Amino acid sequence: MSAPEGFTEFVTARSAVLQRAAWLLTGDAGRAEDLLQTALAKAWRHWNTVAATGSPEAYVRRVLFTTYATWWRRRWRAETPSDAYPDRAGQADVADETANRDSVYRALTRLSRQQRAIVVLRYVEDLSVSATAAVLDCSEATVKTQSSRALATMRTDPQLQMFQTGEISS
Amino acid sequence: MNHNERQLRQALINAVPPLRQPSDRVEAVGARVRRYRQRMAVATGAAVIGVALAAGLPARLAVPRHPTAAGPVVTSPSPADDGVVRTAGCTGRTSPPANSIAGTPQPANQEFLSVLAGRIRTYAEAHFADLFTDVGMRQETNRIRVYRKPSAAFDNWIRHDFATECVEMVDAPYSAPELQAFLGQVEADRAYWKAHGIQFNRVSVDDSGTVTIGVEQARLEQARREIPSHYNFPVVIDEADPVIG
Repeated sequence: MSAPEGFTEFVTARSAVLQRAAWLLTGDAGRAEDLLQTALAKAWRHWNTVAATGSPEAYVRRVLFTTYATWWRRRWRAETPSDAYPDRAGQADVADETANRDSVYRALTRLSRQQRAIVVLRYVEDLSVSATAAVLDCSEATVKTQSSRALATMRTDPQLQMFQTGEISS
Repeated sequence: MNHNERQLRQALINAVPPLRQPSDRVEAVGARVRRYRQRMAVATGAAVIGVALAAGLPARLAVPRHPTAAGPVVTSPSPADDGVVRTAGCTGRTSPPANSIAGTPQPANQEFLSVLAGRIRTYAEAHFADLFTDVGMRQETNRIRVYRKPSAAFDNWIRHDFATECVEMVDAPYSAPELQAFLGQVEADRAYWKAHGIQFNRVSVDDSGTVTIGVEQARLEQARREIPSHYNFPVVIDEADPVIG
């Protein structure tokens, strides 16, 4: 079974961005890949329609976020990630890099699933409030409220002082 | 995007570790699509058989039926022609998508469906643990779909308590605890397979009872050759990098 026309090119061009969003939602490389492939598989099945819109990425992103928000428990109820960690090459700044990464991710884990999705859509994907509301099928007021609460929660992390005084629109 | 928003964006992007790309993501996605279509074909076949039985085919073929040979006896309610049992709330329900992105219709009513699914899951896990498999949302059609082993008692509960909502009930071969038992069998063998050079990077089970084991690419062929025959349930071997997130 070969991929529908244009699908391979889309995956090649856009997977990295979608995979990054998937990681920010899941915090796990394996689960991010699974989430991405789940979204891509759904898009594959409707590719003619999806491609005809001229914006397949919008569709795949929508599927990715709604799958994360709604089917996550079902998909991963029985998942057991490996307990074996691969060896990683040593680098001089690995410790600092890892600490920063951990602090941001730790802040994300304090958010509800919806809040995390909103933060990723608004501040990583750079979607407007209305576009974020459309993706998550909620009101713009919900996006604003949850975004504000999410940022307040993230600011409580001492490692994220950079956002203490600055103004971020929610 | 102001300066602080750009800072936040950069911090979030920097939080993402280097992510390895699978050797062939398109092929992996294609494999998922194939498995999905196979499951749908099986489900459709079962529905066709169900319709044939309901139409009295066995009598015409003079095949004697023993009550115990037909599996669990479900007296009520009856499934529709497609094998799906539905609540009264599904009757006449149309659910045009509430919005669209770039002209593509998008699911609606997600928040409400999520609450509904949560209520069903909580009660089902507490009172029908031996029957209940899973619950999911079919947002495109604004309804809930419950997977459970055929049971009149279960269906009557749903039909009574969720009469005004649209909830669909679909036959599943296994309950959640049974699926967990399959997973447990594979998990118990993790050390055995490691001793044979095969490290499980991920293990999961889906609602059809298929266990998927993720191994590194270098061991893919060996794993596909050796592992599935050890189990009396379907086992699929997929490529999966170690989880490092």
